[in-house]
Amino acid sequence: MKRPYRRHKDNVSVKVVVALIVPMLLISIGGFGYAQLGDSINTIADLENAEYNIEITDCKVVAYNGFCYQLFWDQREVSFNDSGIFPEWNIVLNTTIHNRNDSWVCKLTYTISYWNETLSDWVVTNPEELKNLFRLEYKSEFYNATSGELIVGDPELLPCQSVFKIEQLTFIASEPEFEQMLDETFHIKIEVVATYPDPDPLEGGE
Amino acid sequence: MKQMMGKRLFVLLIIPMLLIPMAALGFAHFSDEAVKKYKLHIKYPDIEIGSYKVLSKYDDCLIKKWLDGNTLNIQTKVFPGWFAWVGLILHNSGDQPVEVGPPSYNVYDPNNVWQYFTHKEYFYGPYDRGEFATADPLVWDGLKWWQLPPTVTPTPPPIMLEHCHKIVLWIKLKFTSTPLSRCCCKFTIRISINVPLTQELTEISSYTWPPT
Repeated sequence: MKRPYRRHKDNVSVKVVVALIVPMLLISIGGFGYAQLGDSINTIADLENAEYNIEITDCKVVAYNGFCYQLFWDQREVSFNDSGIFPEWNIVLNTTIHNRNDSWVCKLTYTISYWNETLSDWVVTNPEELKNLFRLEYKSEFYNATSGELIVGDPELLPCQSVFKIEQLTFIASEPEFEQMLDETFHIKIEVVATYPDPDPLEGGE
Repeated sequence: MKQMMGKRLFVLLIIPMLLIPMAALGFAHFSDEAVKKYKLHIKYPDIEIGSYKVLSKYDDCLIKKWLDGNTLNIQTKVFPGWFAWVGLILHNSGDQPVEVGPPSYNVYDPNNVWQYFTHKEYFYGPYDRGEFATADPLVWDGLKWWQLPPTVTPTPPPIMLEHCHKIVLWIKLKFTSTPLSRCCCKFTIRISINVPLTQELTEISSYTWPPT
């Protein structure tokens, strides 16, 4: 008994089918290859929000003319206490702030607050108001932790970069003012915040 | 003797030359089929990314970028005010002219932040061989982010790119300075930028198939 293929081997329709199907397949494959070769150029951007993570890696007193102080610090906070300040009392603190490697490019800013007993809350202030309210002069500067250079304006930090924040507090009360302020206690908070950098005026386009 | 040799050689050359076409003609005349064989070469378009750059003020090192065939992949973190210039050299390495169209954008945007993005495209060229590298004013080599877009008048798409020619495409992608609180704090987005290429078909001959 002949096999079906052998039976139809010489059939004209088989030849026609083979002659049509094979080129059709080849043309389809060729067309697919052609489409793969060059029908578009793509750019895929996977973006996500930046998150910031800074920490204090060191804090030390650089200059001090008082009698006794207490300084505590950890990754999040520096706490400084002095129970006996006097006119011309002065302290200089150097705090190292590090932008962690899981953070992103950031700008450092800081806010000054004082504790308001009446409101039982922190009130945001500025160096000028601090001077008027408590006769405390506050100065702050940022320095590049690698080069030691002064940073003008708010510093921008890449991940794994650090800055020194040098802060100087001076009690500038006169003797009569000092006598009026005896037994007063002030609580001052300096909060350093990492935020996204400012847009650049040199940015072109659009 | 020499004349005899010349005549013999003449006969030996001429007779086969006459017989062979006559035999072919006779065969064609008495047979019912004729076979012609053609060797055809299919022309193909092939546009490739000849070179790429991703420039940003916020440190280019923070942008991961890699090329995978004809796809440039970018991965980074963004914040209000972030922008990047994506630069591509599109090179027609095929043997057919190709029309390059304006890019289209597809986004996977589960957190609905695409509305805070802006984009603009600038095409320059076409350039023959390495002209783009030495163009004055600059369009590619030596450009910094603050010098973009180039000061040359851009070419509006679609652009016909001949064999071996190149065009420079700069795309500015920006996350507008909307405060994060107005969109959402955590988000991810995938932006697919597609530059369409259309092959310019050329008729090489007037052959038709099947023959009439």
